Amino acid sequence: MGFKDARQRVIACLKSGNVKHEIRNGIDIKNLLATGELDAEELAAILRQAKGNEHQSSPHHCAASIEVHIVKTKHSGRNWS
Amino acid sequence: MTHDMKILKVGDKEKAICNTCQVLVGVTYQLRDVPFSDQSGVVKDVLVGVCDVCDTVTVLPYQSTPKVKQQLAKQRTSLEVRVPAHMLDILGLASVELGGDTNFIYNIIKYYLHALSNGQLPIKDMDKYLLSDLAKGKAQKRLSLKGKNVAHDIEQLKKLAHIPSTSDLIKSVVLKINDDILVHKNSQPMKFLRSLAAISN
Repeated sequence: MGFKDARQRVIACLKSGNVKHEIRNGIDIKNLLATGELDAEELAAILRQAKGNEHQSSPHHCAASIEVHIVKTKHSGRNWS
Repeated sequence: MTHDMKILKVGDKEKAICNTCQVLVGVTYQLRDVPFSDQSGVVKDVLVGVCDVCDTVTVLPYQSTPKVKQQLAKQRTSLEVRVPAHMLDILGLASVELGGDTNFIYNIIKYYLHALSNGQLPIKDMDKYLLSDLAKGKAQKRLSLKGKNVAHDIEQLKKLAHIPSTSDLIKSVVLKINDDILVHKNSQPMKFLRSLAAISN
């Protein structure tokens, strides 16, 4: 799946609340969406301004059928990933 | 947020990746206590997905976010402890000794909480301070501590020093400050705190 399609689907999920966070060693304090410090609309805005070359994807190391999308971008002077 | 978010209930099941099993597994939604990754606190009784194979918490659904946010906000507000009046006097005298003003007492106590909890200062026999005469007295004064690390440092130090009560812990820290700064004039913490006082004023 390309970046634009993935982004569209993620933003749709953010809008509908169809979001689940992976828990490893507790609730990740750096996951600002999980801690409520960032809301869905703010995250959608960050994703909307991200460029194609700031995106990469690869199969999940536990389940190859699941594609993992990583976006590393800058927004309002801060780095986001 | 639109209204078509699927609200999950205790007992609901779905598939998710379990980081412990390292595969896609079935999870069942249950109420559990889940810690933060930095051990700063625990979100109690929150709906999470639990791996059907290994019973580890693997998924936090979006609907549980407000409860997580509430716990985080609670930890980051100020911590209030009641102590005997002479303990605030000890902190005031320590502040004067270090060249600080009245507000500097909070920097002293926060430095000690942090340095003791991460091994920069020794915690040996911290609980023995509670047996001393200076540990006695009616808890008539309030000490209010703010800061994002305060709650975490206190929880950590309670475990390391084997002092389960927050007010007892703060009392023993104040008495350690008394010992280090006023009685023995221990150069290690004093040097750092003097520099901090010099730039804080």
